[in-house]
Amino acid sequence: MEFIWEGIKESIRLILTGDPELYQILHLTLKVSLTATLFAAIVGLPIGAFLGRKKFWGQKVILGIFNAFLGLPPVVVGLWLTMFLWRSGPLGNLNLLYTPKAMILAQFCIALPEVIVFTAVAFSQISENFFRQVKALGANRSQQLYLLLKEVRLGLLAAVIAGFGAAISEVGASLMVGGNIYQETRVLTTSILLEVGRGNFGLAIGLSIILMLISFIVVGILTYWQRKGY
Amino acid sequence: MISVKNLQVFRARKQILKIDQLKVAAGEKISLLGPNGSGKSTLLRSLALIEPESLQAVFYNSRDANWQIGYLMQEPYFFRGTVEENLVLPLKLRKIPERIIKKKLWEFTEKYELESLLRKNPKVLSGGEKQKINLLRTLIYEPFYLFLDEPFTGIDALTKKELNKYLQSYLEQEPGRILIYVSHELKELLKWGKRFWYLKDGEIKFDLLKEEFLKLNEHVVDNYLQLLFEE
Repeated sequence: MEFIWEGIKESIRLILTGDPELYQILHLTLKVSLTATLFAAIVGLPIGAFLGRKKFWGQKVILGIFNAFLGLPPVVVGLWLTMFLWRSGPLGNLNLLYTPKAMILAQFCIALPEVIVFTAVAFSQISENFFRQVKALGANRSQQLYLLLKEVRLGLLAAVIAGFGAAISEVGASLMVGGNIYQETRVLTTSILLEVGRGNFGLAIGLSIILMLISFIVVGILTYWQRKGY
Repeated sequence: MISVKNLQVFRARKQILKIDQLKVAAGEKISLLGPNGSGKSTLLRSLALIEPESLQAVFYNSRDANWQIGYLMQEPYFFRGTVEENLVLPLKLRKIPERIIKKKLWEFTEKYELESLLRKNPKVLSGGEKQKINLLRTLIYEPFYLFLDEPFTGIDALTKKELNKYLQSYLEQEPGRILIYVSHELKELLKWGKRFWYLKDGEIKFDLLKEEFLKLNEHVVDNYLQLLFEE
């Protein structure tokens, strides 16, 4: 039990003393995960909206595929991306392997299905009555779109947060395509793995507490917005 | 004036509405009746230019008719936000200046005793309160054409009386206003309508004035009408 207490003390010390290594890792973690989430949102929100609203042949199959991708093991994403980005692979000439850009790409692949599926669910829950009501009140097309986005905004927020959660918490893909290189591609999850391997449970627990804090802060913001917006 | 020409609505490859020709003049008050599934709501939505098929078949003689239509659904939809935000939404959509919106809201709050409801989430309102806000959200922008789809179903007698009063005074303010009222209750149909449309299987089976409609009682053959008159 001693090392758990040590871990908590270590995390407080790391945060309060402004440990430069920790802040460098934290900075990279947020940079990689937020950038991946941003791209996943840019690509995933319109696809999710389309899949949630438009009825077309094969729509359920496509949604089913994205649903299946929710359970995609990050390590599999990492393996495939590593093969593609390998020097002799199809995207080898981009020289992305073992760079933060490769990690962004990996986390993008993991966050994208989350954003798409959650967005599709949010849009599919908007009833036909909503569209009738906006037309009945005289809204023109751009006003209809504005009201629709306002109505689903909490669902879209949840979609983005789910994508962020999946991105920041994965370790397998980042480790494979990033390589956990000191001061280059080391993020919180890969650091925790490394410290546990070294037997530094104190530091690992400290890092895990910081990782959890980030998640709690983000979820806290979401909950606050949800309560505020009914 | 509203004119309908060759209005046809299909859903799932089945024709649910077929109206060859129909005209409604200013000031007309029409009661629309018919069994469930006969197409009453679809006809009302078509007249309110909500159904896409109506755009080539329903014509208004005023240019900004779209802003002049008030359509009340059986089950009102309330947007996220407070009662107040829902109430003033149609005014905001019409880009009415904020100053006038505030004045209008104050007038409505006083006249219809809305003080206790304005800050509430519409989802927590009672059935009667919802219908009240639904009706007022339509009346607030003073539409010339009113299409009401069973607006007072399932609410208590007291609230119904109150809402009937609001509607009555709204129609009296400007006699030219057009009303089309859907109901399954003979009392309501007779209260509002001077002209009666009977819809069955997507077609208007008769279009009668009140006196002619009441005469039907003596030689009615249709089950739905028979039960309606028995009530």
